[in-house]
Amino acid sequence: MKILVCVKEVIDPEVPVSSIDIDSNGWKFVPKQGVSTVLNGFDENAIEAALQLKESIGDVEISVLSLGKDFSMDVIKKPLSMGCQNLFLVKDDILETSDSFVIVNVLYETINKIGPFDLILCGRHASDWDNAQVPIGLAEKLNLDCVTLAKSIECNNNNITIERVISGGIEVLKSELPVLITVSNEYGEPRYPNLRGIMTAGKIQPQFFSLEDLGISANDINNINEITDIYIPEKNSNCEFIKGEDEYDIGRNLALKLRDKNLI
Amino acid sequence: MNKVLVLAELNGNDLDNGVFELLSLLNNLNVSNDEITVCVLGDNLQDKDGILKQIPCSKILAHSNIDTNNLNPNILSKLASSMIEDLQPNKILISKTNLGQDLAPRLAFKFGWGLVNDCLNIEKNENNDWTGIRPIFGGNFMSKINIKTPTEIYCVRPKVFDSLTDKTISPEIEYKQFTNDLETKTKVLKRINEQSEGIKLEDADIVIAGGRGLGGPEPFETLDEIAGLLNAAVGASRAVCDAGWMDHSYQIGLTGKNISPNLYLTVAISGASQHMAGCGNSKHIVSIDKNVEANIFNDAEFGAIGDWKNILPGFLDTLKDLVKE
Ligand SMILES: Cc1cc2nc3c(=O)[nH]c(=O)nc-3n(C[C@H](O)[C@H](O)[C@H](O)COP(=O)(O)OP(=O)(O)OC[C@H]3O[C@@H](n4cnc5c(N)ncnc54)[C@H](O)[C@@H]3O)c2cc1C
Repeated sequence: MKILVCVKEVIDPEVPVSSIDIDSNGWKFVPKQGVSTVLNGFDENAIEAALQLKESIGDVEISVLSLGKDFSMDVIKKPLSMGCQNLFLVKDDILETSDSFVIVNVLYETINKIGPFDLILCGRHASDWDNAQVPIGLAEKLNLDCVTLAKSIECNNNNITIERVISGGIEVLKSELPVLITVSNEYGEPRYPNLRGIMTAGKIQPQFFSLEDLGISANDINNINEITDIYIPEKNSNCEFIKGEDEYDIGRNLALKLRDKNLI
Repeated sequence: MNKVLVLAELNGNDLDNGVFELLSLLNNLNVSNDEITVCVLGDNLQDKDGILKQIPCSKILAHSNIDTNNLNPNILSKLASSMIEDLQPNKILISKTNLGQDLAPRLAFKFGWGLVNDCLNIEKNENNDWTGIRPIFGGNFMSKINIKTPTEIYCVRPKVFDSLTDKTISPEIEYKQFTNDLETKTKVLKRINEQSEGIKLEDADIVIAGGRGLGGPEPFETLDEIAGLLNAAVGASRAVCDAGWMDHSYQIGLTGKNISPNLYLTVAISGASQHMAGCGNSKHIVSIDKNVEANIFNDAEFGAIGDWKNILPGFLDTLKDLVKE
């Protein structure tokens, strides 16, 4: 069985806003010096799902695909040190400011070249643009069924059973390969690479593609969504802090305040 | 003149509130009723006139005699596509529900149209062009987006707009028999609803939520006790759920539940933008945290600074007295 996991390198989503500049020329995030990038968290969940399928089924080859302008090898090779077999990287400056529409087309062309795959896994969304469009769009483009927000995946021959998170509960679905599934953090913590994994990863060379290699010319690259502004939302911080003789008293006064304001 | 298609969803006999919110957004944009068609997705709609008539619009298109397999997006994207081909809209509005968030990208890519996902508002310029506003980077930033394709899709976050309640119009419903092949390999086998004792998080008037600063699952017993006194529901931050102190069904935020209670009371939650994405529309936010610099105080109306271990007992004792009165 061949699994593909699509991943993205993103600015660490836990850093404060002040560590990121916005470049209005093409609208991109520019991390300040020293701010690190990480593998998108949900993509690590997807990698973990692929690895667990490999453990339970046995004969599985996991390939990882990423697109970008640049890659930090430490970050983008992490899936290999976690236990994946192949890494495909499509590198082009233009991909930095491409919208989901372009990204899906490039992923599609790459998969045509390196595929086919029985199962495609993606993180539920990328934590930088929070778009949640690429996986579903890719499924549509590849004419595959798509199941989003998986918290568990079981595969038996061609049959696949998925539990997905919905608001208000869980949905259990069955499908057949090939299918595209997006994985959510409810799947569980991704593993840490161990030393052996890191050594193995060191020996695997990523395979690079340019857009040209994929038969895509710069003229084919057209965003269909135009960003006209990015800004930090205003907050009106006029919080009233509750006073008291000590912390117990503050708690007491808080309750009285809420009653006074008819909030409780 | 616009031709706006609004998707509505009927889960069993429950009409999702999204359609009322989308109509309210369209009302804000001065889109008139005759520009709007509401397309309803659901099971066996031919028997559900009574429910559909509640939608305050003038035209409804519904399909009849279809089993959607628990609103399976793989089926509904085919159905919605044929409705779109029928109506040829230039704007499509979808509420970001379980179904909507799957359907919107599916339709966008099928037709090659632009989508503003998780849209918080739409602005209109003097040429009547629309610009969608959406949060990015977990809500740390906002972006404005112009779609350049002839048809524009907006998937709008629920609970941002009040419901439109216009009793003066009642829709004309057209039922259509769609004959497309709706077969799909993917089937919903079952839905397992959360066991929630007491009030549902989404429906509660008061929510009290705890964060990583609580240090473990035990303090949630105190939150439960407070919730009992206030008739409130309990929620949590992702840090708490990822740590396994509470089930993920309690998670509030971008990737958890989206709530808008009258009172949102937080204890030891720092107020990361991804958390606020799920509760920022609460009417009143009140927070207990030891760090006066915590982000949550940018949103909170009242704050209590200090260790929850000392503040909560004072709060709880006083509540008990107040309840007795
Ligand atoms: C893509 C993505 C999606 C995410 N989605 C969500 C989501 O849906 N929901 C969500 O909640 N988060 C989400 N997050 C995570 C979010 O960024 C934060 O990491 C998380 O909300 C932090 O949880 P917290 O506030 O409980 O913990 P912390 O940020 O660690 O805050 C703990 C707070 O407790 C206070 N504290 C500590 N001890 C005490 C004490 N003794 N007394 C009083 N106060 C104390 C501290 O001062 C601090 O303010 C997401 C992150 C990413 C990247």
